[in-house]
Amino acid sequence: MKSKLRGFTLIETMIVLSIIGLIIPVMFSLFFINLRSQTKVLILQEVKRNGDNSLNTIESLSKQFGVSFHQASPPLRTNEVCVTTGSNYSAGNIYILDESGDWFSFYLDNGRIASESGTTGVTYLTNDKVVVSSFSLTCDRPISVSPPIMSISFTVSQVGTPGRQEEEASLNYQTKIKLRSY
Amino acid sequence: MKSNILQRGVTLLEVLIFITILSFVFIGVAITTTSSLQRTQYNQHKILATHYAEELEEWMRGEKEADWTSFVNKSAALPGRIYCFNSTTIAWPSVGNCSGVYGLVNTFKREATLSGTGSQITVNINIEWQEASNLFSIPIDTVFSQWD
Repeated sequence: MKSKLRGFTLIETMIVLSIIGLIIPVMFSLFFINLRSQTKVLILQEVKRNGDNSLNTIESLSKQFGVSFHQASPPLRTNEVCVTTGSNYSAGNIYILDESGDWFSFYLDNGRIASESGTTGVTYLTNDKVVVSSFSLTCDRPISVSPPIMSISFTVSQVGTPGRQEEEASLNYQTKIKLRSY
Repeated sequence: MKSNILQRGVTLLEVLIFITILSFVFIGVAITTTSSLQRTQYNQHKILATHYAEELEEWMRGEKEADWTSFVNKSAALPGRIYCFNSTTIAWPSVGNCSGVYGLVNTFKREATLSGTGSQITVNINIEWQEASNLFSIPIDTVFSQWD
């Protein structure tokens, strides 16, 4: 009668506990890997969104409204650059004169792309979740019969250093545009 | 006898049922997590692939703006010429496809086909990558015309 009532032995309990102890860490590590890769996608999304937006804005504004390139503000005939054939300018900020006589400019300000205009002041094209580096706007004019060409290039990266076993979310952007209303 | 009934433990059947339910729950959670992980991986690759495709498209646009004549020379009448842009810094490679090499950041294959002559060039950019023996691709088609 006594033998029929026996419960689990110590060995049995230990086996059960060790199996549970193996399964639980696996489940949790899966969960955390998942969480981490989702964070990575979110960061990448943010980087791409900022980069795409900046490139589109610079590209479309310059293409639509740009008339000529200048090396200083206010833009005057005397400080116009990329006028003669074969000339180029890559020394500093480019100020772009628009059709209504106002000017606008894009430059790097503490890791963010600033868009400044003579009438509306400074606005930022990227937010503080990303850092922009290697920002360059240059112009050159290979042929006199066609408008000057502006080259845009920059790199957008995530803010801060990535955690271990992760590569940094960093994307390069580059394009060239011709002023339409030259 | 009365105390014996009170101290009755769990039967084998009860333990089996419990374990089965528990393992079903665990398997369910594991499947959901892994599929979610795969989807995240796919999302990440897709974001990157779209970027690389757009990057090449913008670069092509730049080449076209800079010098139409040499841009046209890169193209040929249908079926056109295929180029492999597996390098992160873009420059014109010699004619030829990637021969099945996923060399762009060790994940992607980036090919562009330029077809057409004269004042209109069609550019087909195709990014391909493999994931869990599935093949994914992002195609972008653009037509470049001579303006001036």
